[in-house]
Amino acid sequence: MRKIKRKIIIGFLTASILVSISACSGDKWQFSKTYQPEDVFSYTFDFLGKDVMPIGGYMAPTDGYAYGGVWYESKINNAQFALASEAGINLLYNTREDYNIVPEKVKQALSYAESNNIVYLFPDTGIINIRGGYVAEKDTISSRIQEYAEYLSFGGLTCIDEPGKNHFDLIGQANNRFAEALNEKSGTLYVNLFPSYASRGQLSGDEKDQSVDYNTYIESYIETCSPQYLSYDYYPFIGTTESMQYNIESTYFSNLNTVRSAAERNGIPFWVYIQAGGMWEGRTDVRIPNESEVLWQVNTGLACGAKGVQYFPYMQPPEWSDMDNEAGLINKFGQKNAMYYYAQKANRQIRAIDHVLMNACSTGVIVHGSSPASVYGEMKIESYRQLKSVTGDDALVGCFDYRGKSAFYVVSNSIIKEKAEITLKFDQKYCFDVTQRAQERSTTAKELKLKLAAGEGALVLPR
Amino acid sequence: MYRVKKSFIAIFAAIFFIVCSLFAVLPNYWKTTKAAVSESELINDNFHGNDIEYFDWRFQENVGIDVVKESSVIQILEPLNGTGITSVSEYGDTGIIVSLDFNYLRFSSTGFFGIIFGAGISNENVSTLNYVLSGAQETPFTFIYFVVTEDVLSLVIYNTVDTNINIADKNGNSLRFSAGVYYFDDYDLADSDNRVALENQILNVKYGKDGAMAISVIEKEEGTEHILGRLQGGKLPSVHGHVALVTMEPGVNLEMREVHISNQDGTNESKFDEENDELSGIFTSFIYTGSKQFYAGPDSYINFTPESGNDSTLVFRQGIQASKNVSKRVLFLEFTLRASQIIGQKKFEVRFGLNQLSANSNSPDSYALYFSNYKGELGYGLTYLSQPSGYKQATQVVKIEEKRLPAAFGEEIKIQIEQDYSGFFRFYCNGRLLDCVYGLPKPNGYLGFMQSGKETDDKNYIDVDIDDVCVINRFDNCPENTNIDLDFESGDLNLNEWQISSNASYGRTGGVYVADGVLRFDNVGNDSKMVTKHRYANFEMTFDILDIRREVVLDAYGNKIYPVSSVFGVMFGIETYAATFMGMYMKSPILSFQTEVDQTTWAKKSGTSVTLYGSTANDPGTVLPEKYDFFDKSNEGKIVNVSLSLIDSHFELKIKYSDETQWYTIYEKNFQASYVGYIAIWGMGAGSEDDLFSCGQFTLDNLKITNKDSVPNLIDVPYKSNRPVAPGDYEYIDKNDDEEFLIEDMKIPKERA
Repeated sequence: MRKIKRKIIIGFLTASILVSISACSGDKWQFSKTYQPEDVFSYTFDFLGKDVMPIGGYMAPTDGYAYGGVWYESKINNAQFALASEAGINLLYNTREDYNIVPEKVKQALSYAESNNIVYLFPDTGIINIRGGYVAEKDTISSRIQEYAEYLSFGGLTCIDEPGKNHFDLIGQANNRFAEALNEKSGTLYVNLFPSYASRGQLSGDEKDQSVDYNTYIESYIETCSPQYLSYDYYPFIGTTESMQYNIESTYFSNLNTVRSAAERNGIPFWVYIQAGGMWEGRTDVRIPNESEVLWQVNTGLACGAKGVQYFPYMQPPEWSDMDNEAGLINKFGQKNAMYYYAQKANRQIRAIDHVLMNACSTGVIVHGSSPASVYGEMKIESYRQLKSVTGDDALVGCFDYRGKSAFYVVSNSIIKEKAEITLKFDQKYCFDVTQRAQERSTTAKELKLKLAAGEGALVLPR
Repeated sequence: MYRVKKSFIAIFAAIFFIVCSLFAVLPNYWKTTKAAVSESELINDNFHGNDIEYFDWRFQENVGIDVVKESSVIQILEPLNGTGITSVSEYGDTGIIVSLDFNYLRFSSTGFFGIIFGAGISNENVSTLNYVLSGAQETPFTFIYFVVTEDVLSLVIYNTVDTNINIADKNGNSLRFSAGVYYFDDYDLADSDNRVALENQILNVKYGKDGAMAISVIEKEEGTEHILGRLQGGKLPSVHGHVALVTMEPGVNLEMREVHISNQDGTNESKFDEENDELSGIFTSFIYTGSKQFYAGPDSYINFTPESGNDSTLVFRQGIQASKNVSKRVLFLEFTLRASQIIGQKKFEVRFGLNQLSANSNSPDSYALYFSNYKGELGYGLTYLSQPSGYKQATQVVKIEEKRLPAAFGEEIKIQIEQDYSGFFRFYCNGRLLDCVYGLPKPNGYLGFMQSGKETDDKNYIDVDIDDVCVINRFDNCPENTNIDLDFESGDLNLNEWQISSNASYGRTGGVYVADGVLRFDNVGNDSKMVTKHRYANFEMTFDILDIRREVVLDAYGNKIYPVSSVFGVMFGIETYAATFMGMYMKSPILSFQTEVDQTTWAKKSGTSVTLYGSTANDPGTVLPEKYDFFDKSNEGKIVNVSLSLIDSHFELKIKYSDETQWYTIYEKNFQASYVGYIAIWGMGAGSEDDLFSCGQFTLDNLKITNKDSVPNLIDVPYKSNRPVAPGDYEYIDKNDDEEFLIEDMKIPKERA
């Protein structure tokens, strides 16, 4: 009896080992080395959760308005906020309904946003009006905030879009007073900055002052305003003629590098904007991005370390109501444009991986092959830890320290290659968790082969 | 005989009946409605600057036509609020002297010219005038302005707080003072017929450091100084700041050749004059959009030099139109001429009826008034180069035999020419009619300045200057348009008939739109309007006012949300349908229904005025009688029918309620000429949170515009709905199959066994 028992136990153990080995495809793989974790800088909203990346939409559902003799019904309703949530948007910027003038509208919007797990920012010129040159005293701000801070969806106020340097002092003052007024509550005064292709007159805020270059603009903003994050916009898809239909503005990565570097030096995250439309403001050369281009812009931003993604516009702005469906995820009738689906796809991927990216420190990008816009500057690296090289089709590989381990965000760096095959070559075999198209799968390899659609990205985590 | 009589009577009656019937039945052109006459100032060129304006004149370079700087000038014509200049330097601690050398300062029924002492800003983006009037400036200032009231030059001190202030004339007698206005009764306008307050005179204003003030006019030719008034009693504030020269309302036109602002001892001078004719760094300028002209720089003239020849032509690019329905004064030309030399067989001429821009004095069927050397003196004549059809050769026909001009070589002469459709030509020299000519062609075609006679050499040449060229053309303007009849039941508008500009009142939602079978101006803000896309000359417009907000709207807590509706109106004769309201303002007649609103309660607090604004249409208007004051609560529920018409330059505005049959004429006016242009219905409202008491809210229906031209030029207008079609959600198809891209899942557990 004792012999039989012993045989059974040995057999069971042997079988277990065999199963384990077979579960590892019969191959041995190594765990990644753990390094000293790098500092991570991110900003998000309590309502969303600390690991949730802000995915914003500029131009929240608007109230009713008339244009060209037609009345467009109000889109401040639950159905529209639900649409935003289904698209993966978790942050909306209201730029039209001023709490100081229409408080009830804003409260309605806050309520709908809350029901749909969306953070909602709005203007309140009664306490902060940068272009009007006014910032209320802290006590006034504090008292006013009580009127809407009870809403979980309240994430702060929209402060100013694309300010000139001449506004920075007042923005800084507003930030200080707002932070004091909030006390321990979280909240932000949202500021979005110019791109590098803005004129010097725009950067300075005075057409006659040509002294401010982009680096000065960014550094001055950080120094004067002590922001929680750096948000900037850049719309790279310029060109509609046959020769220009795949053009991406050449300074795209240069701008990204400038902002990224400044953010890194100052220990704050940066957020990018995604061009969600075109043909606006009479610019027939601004093309409407296709799915590949939207994915590309989102994923290159993530690969370079962006900790927030924002779409412009989310909803077709009322002042652009003469356009058909060229601007925004949602058109003037409250219906979904093609852009809605592109963004939804991109956002699904973000939501599947943001718990990693929001806790990962971007250490650089590896560029393989050609790039639609040149990548250079501090962020460009040749290899990272166990990743020794990249082969195959054009690729941009974002390299991260994730809690002492490595993480790679691999992007097909092409907007036209329908199926790119990219191989990551490591120093030895590892087990990888790969999240692509919001689906996580695991595999082992020393040379990890990925297939990506144009502009698509995949998160690779070696265990 | 009796039978003959009966027959005769019957025939006569029949004829009479037929003729009367014809008048009743036949189209309008048998009626007395006249043509729509447009009088258009095609150009008024002072030749400011250093170049000839290429878009106005056809000329060649290097042919002896030079632009010569004579002096410098600041010219402001038909300005809007606050247009003017402000010194960059600050003054006040030691007193201020402002000395302004005017070529002219001219007023119409509105308009003023002012000086601000102690202005707080000097900024090209912000009106100094607006800055002080809005209360933004907190430091002391004094704002004085000049107007012409009752044909007398007058002064207003805007912000007088000292009630002891008194202004006395040179003899120490108090000036006539009424309703805040000081009258300089002792001073004669330079030209009272044309309301020119100053002409070639210097206006001096001294502002002491302790608030004393003295105003005088210096006659440049004689050098005498005429004290207009000085402060006697009371004090103006001591000020320190910039000095601004400001204008308001299109009713003031001015030219200054020099501006001098300094401390009382002459130091710290800010000046504009012939040697310093750039504002930059010395003055800032603010120009309100829509002002007709602001210019500061060289004041020049055109010189036809001794090197110029018969091909040195300066031709005005706009052709003159002669319409058969406009008989009188089809063309008016005025210019200043200074003929320094005309030597030999040369003639300097202004030639009319040129068949093309590149034509010269050989242009067939053209005619010219020429200036010559007539026996050693300045002479003139008129010739016509007649070339009847079928003839190969043109013949020079003398219409005015060469004779002496009553003016000398080198003298500055004002030349005026008028011509009728028949060709009748009148020539004035320095305001005096010199000659008339019949039998010239009608004034169609181009006109220009050129020479004729022998080719230029050392025995035949000219040295002639021209300046201040003004061309006015009167012609029949029967524009193409369509009769409009809208009941709004279709729910949309024809974008080929209407341009819609829609803005909500500040902080509110609203705009201009069609809904529920009516046209709504719903909580509209500024620049909200519907403008026709076709021009109208003679027309009648009718519409119904179904509703207008007559009571303040409160929320559940008793807070004010919306004020009563306070203003709306109609504009006609608009130049450009795509312009903003401010771009149209004061260039086209604006009919305004306006009621005064209490800025605190937002309720109606007065009757409703009906006013006609416009650069030449300014009129105090009238007040609606109580019965027809449709802004009033007492008239709630009534449908108002409005009719306005402009026919043969006669404007009429009528009103009635829908249950009445008789129209009540509110207002009538005869214009001097027709206003041919686009027609708009407009509303206004708050532009900022400072004027939330202002909001336009009214509902209209049954809008009709009918062409009333003697010969309507009606066209078919294709229909293009303003209502876009909602496309539905985009039908997205994901072309990528996930499994083609995703890696094979080995399903490795997270924990290693």
